[in-house]
Amino acid sequence: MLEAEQITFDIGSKQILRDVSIEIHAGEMVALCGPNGAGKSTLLRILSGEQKPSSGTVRFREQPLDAWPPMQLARCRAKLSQESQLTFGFRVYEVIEMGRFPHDTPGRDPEIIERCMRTVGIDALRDRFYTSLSGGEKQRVHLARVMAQLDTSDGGPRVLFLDEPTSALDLLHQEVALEQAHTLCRAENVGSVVVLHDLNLAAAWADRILLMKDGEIRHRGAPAEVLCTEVLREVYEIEVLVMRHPQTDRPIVTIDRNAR
Amino acid sequence: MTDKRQPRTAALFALLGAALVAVSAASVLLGAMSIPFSSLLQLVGETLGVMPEGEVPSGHRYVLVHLRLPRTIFAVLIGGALSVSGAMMQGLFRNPLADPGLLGVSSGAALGAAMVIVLGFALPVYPLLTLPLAAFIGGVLATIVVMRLSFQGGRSNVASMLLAGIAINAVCGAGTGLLVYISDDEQLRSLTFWTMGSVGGASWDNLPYVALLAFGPVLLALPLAKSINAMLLGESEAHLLGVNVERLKRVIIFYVCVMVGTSVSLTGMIGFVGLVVPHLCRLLFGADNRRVFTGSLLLGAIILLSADLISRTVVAPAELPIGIVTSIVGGPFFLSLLYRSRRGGMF
Repeated sequence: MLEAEQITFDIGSKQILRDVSIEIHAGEMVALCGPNGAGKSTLLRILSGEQKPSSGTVRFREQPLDAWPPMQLARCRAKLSQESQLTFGFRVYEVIEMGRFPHDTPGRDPEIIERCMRTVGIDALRDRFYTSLSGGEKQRVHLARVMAQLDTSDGGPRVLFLDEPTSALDLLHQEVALEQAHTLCRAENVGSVVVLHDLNLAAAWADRILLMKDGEIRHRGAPAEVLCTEVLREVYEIEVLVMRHPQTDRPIVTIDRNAR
Repeated sequence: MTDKRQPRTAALFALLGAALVAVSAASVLLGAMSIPFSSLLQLVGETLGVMPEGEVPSGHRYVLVHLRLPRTIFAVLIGGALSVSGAMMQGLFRNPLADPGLLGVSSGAALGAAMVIVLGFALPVYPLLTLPLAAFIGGVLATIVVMRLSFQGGRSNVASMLLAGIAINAVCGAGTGLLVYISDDEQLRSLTFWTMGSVGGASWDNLPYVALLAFGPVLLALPLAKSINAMLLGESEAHLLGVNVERLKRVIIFYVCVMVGTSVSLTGMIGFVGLVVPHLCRLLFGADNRRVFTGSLLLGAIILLSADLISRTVVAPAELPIGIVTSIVGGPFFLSLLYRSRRGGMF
């Protein structure tokens, strides 16, 4: 559904991304992991069309991103950024309403907005000022906003980008956020790419993990294939222990204290 | 808009509308010469053809038709234009402290006006048009310079726009200062009064320009409110929501430049309104620009009309510059509002 071919991106003489190719399928959740400065956020910006690559092309539903009319693209592609610059005192409801901007469906909007607020558990914040919320609450408001943005009646292929959606969230809400994103993927056939620092969250929710380092994708595959001691030593330069979750059998990664 | 507050919002808009009508009536009737309501009624009735020709004292008729009426309409249009342009700038810069002056329009216009006043240029054909024309050109040129400096490779950077605006304001201010330095007492007096503003220049002749150039963009800007809301999330967020950000920025700057350039060229500098009216509207209606723009349009008109009414009644038959009134009355009022609403998140 979304294909990036041989993406490179340079700033001056510095190569941020080199020859990155990936494909995202409808209904799957892909985690993008790797050390700081690996190029994860840049790749996400290029995949979402926020940033043009220095070379290479991104196609969404067979069509290059820059050939999409912006409004039409906005109805089936949404992105949760790391931080928001909103400093004006909008009500929570109004912020989520902005997600409906590309859609011309005033009749359906209130219902969609209320549903998205319930989904991420912020219906109690409905009439609060956005500026009075905590960092985690703000993050959930924006999650609800991008979910509202992707709500279409036609149910066509859509793609969701989440840049560290759990960075400010507590244990419960990390789980809720990824669970809801996962549900959206499965139930509505939405493909998603999630930048995550927490490998355990990636292991628990992602169908595939892409491990990036120095502007390249070094390893890709199912969590159990990618999350092993050798690979993580190479990518993160740290010794880890990999265990299995007793209930799901998915990998759990923790630091090897004896090797430190 | 949330359903719970909708009735309150509607009531507030109705209240503002009623206040605008009331202040307009007061503005038409009150002044150095007070005119009874019956004269106004008679005149309106005659014009609409629902009343037979009656007697309106010719003095009243002249003052109403040729002075008060155009002046009232003028103040309504300018007040709305200045306020909405302030709201647009605050959206563009994502900063509630932004005002149209940041584009260099006002300082460029002041420099243009100072050149005419001090150096005594005059157009050979319509000499009275020289000052507004020079002010308008000065304002537009200053904005063009600011735009040029902040656009790189087809993209604009709001931060460098802000810096360029500050620099242009300093350069224009220095130019105006030099002209002040070489001016004689009479010129200095005109220049000083110009910088304090007045809507006394209103006439049926310049109203069409005000309606078209200062107020026209206001109406065109109202449908942009939703896109400007999205801009407040950040430029890339707005882009991701499907807003053509670069185009929107250019449209905002173009509108503001024309609106404020026209206003300033005909009224001189009227500070405070563009900054404060959108603030007041956010206190009344919340941050959603759809309501802030419409509210600013109404409230800006009310405030400028009231300021003009005060300016020409307190020292009648003389007139106080309107800029003094907007600041003297509005400043403390705004401070008290700020003080009382220091709960989080209003701005």
